[in-house]
Amino acid sequence: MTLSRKATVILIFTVALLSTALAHAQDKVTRGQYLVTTSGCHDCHTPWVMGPKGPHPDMTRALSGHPADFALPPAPQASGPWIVSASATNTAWSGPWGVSFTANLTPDPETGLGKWTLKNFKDTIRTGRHMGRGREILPPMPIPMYKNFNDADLEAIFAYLQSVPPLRNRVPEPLPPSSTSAAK
Amino acid sequence: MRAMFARIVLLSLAASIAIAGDAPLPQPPADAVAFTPRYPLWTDGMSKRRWLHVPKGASIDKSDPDAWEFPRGTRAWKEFSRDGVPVETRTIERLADGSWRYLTYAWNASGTAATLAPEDGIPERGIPSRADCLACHEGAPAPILGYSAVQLTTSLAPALGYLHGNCGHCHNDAALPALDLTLQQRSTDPKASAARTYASLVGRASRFRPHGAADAQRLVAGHPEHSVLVSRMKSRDPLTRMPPLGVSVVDAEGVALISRWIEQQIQQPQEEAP
Repeated sequence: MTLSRKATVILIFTVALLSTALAHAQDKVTRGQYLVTTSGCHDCHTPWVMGPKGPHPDMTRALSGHPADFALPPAPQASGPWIVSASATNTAWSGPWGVSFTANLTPDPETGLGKWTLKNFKDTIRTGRHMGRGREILPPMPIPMYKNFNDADLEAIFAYLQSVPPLRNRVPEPLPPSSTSAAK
Repeated sequence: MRAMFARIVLLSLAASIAIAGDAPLPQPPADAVAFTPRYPLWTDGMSKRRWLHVPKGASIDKSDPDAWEFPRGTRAWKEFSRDGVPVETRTIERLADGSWRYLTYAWNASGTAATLAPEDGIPERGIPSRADCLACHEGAPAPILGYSAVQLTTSLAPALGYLHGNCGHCHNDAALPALDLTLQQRSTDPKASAARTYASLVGRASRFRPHGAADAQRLVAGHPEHSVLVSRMKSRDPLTRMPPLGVSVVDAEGVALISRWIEQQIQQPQEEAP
């Protein structure tokens, strides 16, 4: 085999390997998109707006969490069996735990998951703590169910979340239960 | 052969039951070493006793001074007492496969006997779940946090020692790289790790912002009252306070130590370690 033939074979082999790796990565992102769109992530992490047919997720702000510029008055007092209320955006939730604001899941480095590692993400979902080490993740995030995702699913979800357009949106910190709330 | 197999099965079953049920606390053996870290973790003012036991003939690999490698079979105990009565004992054990097992034992009211706490802990008594054990212990280079070169032999400025002992097991470059906040100190080059801590604290924007604040800094030189580091240490809100677990009472002495340090020793951003 001449030198140029050898070089050609190596080139074809390398391209084939790269293509396989790329296809695999793309498969993972596609699988992640499927899981994100079927597991209800947009229900709370994409702000909802009112349309002619009722509220629907505003996909121009997909997965960017509770809008920082959406000023909210104090949540209504819980009454009887009605213990939870949600904002019109579906991104702020008041209940016995206080008020939770859904996180920015886009890869914005300062306000989203841009600097997160896969391990940070997996630890968060598995432990129900911020980055696996910080404060508890609050309702309505369904940690008790999502912690059962297997490793491959969580890797796919994270790969997809890292692939969506980064949106800058600094979500406020949660509020503790007020002294007059039903949480007492 | 069949009898031997049956015996192994029975022994395994007995071991499983012992782990899952009301297993009594295994006491530290006579040759366990009692130790006290220089920079202890604040745990609501409880007093603590600690022991380490390494199997006979085995030794700790200290070739990386800041990440000691404990041999299989190593076990550590930490006993928490209030008013002289033991309330809880936590154990960490390195298993034959190299993994670590974390168990917590709850003492009875008179402090005469302790039994294994359930996997979810006993929240009303402040006894952590197994997952909570991992949250702190698996963020550090070695999970036995109080038995390390820094904790046993390294002289640090008191504030840096406090931050190392109370925060550094999570706030380090390996556990939470996204935060770029390093409070862990190193025995090999304490000056460099102190400089890294200053650089990641002083004048740096805080990801956490109090409600209504457009901006916040982790540490404002000379101003503890404006420093998120202090406000989160002082917070009684479980969603805000630091550390986020294992603590429910503010460490007033710790807050005073860090506040004095910020007020008196950090006057300029990125000042050299005192």
